[in-house]
Amino acid sequence: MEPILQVKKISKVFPGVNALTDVSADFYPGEVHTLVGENGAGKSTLIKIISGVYIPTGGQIFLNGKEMNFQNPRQALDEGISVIHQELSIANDLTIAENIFLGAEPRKKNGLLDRKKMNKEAQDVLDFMALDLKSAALARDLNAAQQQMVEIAKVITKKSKVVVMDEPTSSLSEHEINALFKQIRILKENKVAIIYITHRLKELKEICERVTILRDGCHIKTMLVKDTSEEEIVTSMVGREIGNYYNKKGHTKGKEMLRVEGLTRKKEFYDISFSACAGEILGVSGLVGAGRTEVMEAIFGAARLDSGKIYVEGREVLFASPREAIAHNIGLVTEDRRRTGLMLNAMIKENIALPSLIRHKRKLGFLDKKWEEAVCKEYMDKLRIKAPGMDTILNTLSGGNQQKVILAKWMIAESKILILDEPTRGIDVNAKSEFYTLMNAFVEKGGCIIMVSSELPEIIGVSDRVIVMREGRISGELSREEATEQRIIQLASIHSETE
Amino acid sequence: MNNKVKHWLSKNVVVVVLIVLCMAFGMANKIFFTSKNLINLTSQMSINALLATGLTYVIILGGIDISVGSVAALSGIVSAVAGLQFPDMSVFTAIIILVMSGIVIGGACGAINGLMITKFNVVPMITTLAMMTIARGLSYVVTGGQPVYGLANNFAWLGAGRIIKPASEPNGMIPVLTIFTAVIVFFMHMLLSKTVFGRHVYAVGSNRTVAHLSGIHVNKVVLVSYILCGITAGLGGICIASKLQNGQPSAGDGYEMYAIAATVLGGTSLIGGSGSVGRAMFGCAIIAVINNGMNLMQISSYWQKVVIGSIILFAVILDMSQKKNTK
Repeated sequence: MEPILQVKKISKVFPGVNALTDVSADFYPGEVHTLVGENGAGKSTLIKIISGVYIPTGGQIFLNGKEMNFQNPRQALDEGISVIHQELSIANDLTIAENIFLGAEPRKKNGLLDRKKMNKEAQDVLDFMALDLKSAALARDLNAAQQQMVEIAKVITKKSKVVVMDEPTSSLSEHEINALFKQIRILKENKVAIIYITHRLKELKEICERVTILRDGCHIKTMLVKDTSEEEIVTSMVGREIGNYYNKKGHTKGKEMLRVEGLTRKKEFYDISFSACAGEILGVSGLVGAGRTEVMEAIFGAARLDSGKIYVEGREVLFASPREAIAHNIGLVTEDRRRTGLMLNAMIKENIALPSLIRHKRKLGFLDKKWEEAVCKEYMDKLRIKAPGMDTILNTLSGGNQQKVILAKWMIAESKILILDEPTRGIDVNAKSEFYTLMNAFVEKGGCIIMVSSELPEIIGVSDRVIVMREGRISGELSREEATEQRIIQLASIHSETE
Repeated sequence: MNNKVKHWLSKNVVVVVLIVLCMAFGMANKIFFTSKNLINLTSQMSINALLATGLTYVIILGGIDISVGSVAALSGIVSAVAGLQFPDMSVFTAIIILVMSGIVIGGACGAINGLMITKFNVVPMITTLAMMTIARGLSYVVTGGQPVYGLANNFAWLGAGRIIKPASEPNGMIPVLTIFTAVIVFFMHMLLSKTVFGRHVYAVGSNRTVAHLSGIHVNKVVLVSYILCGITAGLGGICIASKLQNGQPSAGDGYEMYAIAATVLGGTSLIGGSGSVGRAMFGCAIIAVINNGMNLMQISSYWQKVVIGSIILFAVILDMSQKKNTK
């Protein structure tokens, strides 16, 4: 079989950094070829070169044996190379059909938009994909998984030969991932070459044929997925053996820190009751859209409750705003760190100190800059945040380090109860492992963690106790021993006729 | 070393532009560098400086206030009408009347702007557009369209008076207006750069959701910032009234554009999250220097507008290209 796309000895140098050095790989039609590597290994740089965003410093790209010199993404797109980005590029106020044909709208003879044809062709694609969506519906009303399907519909209408998917499953539930894989299989049958990026290694066996491992901008090796194992891949990714990845430890449970009873917010969640103790990591599992995030936001005072009671250390509280929750030593690490977790254009110290400034202000409301710098330095050391200094702008840090900054922020705010919503999404294996260690240390000192996660191995590997949510309700609670993937999936799945 | 110089230059383009402009005008006209002219300059830039100071807060929040010119006019009118009640006022009474008018009228207009934005979610551009029209309309209503004349001489001390009177300068050297402005600007600069409130302004402008989830009272920060912006506009307005020794309903027309220009020239990002009062002052200085220098060279004031507009465009383009480079 001839490869459809070949990259040969590709290099990319940024000022001061060799992002890629002599990377070569072949991509075959009808195959899913996964790129794996830690953050900063060069995966994004490689796909940006393939899709024409970056111009390589050295090396060649061949498409169907013809050398390509992409100067911009448009040229790559015209040659049939599409990218589905991790952050979806859907225009919310346009319809599904308008999104699918964006930039390639069908026209009538007089040059005006042929809306009828556009809607019909879009609907044909949606039907072909066996999706229950109307092409005239607004993209705003779709959930993340459905928007992703629209992206794939786009790719199909463009008849792309090569499709790059950058972490397509990172915000999907297990259920939605299966639906996605179904579409990927259809693309494969149509001889499309798929370049796939993921941090979830167990997806490899399920969907991929080939895997290329990158480390520090270099090509380590390319293997057939059927000839390798997850351990081998992880080892080549990090360049060393990772022992106990989750650093799982039993904790000694202390007194009850948080108890909620009958929390209800109509149309989102109903009758939620649970408790969490000092010295405990409580895992909250369930499908995306089961209402987990909404419950956490309501507990934190960021969304209103219709009814229900919240007790912190035995005393009943009701938070009208996050400010009051913070005063009761609760911290919330949101699921979307770039949008709701960090001030990306601000310095590390400004981010880290933000919730605690009021507590540490000097007379007349002046900032205590000495305190700020001291505490910032202390926590950058403690959490091993890798950055040139405390004045570094957050945008330039890796995902793992950004997440540590958020953790430091709540530790400095003296949080005793930490709510973590998808805390390790999109961060690499090493950073994850470090993050779990920090979580364990926090709990061992008497802290209480409530962790929402869609990654089953993470839930099982880290939690002392697991509650599972389904369609806005708690469908079960499992002890550490009972929590297996199978039990959790059973409790989380929606049992309806369509299944 | 070379890199460091480059870095400093790119971060301080306004300073460089200001120096270059001064040199150019200095060479073109001998009067420019006389101490008298330079002191005049500080007084000429004062009104714009006051307006730009408060506006900096609002723009850092990611908002805008285009009502500052009209709010200034209304405050000036009110101070003049109030001043008429005291035909033989002392300097002290005059200052009380002026400053109180500025704070009360400016603060009230700012509060209405802030409440509309926080309580009713009206877009800042529209809220302040409405306020711009309302305040201007009220200025004409109160005065019947006629300037308010007949104010005591002491009324003019704040805006036109000078202190330190050596024998050679019987009219005095340092304009009171310059000192008054410097005090306000210093206070506003410290409030923004050294206090927890100031940091909260940056946080809200940088990412409102993060600020809210970090326990910041976002609406309070926004409201207070618009009030401050109203107050500095009001103070600017009473300075105009005092300087002219009368109340003009048409005063401050178009000043919002100069104030926004000064703020942007000073590097405050219209997207919010960054900027500083101190730097906005460099922006004010550039505009004042261009006006002053071109006046000295007897270039028509119509051309001055064209030049200032072009300089703003140039500054923003420069600013954007820098941001691209740092990414």
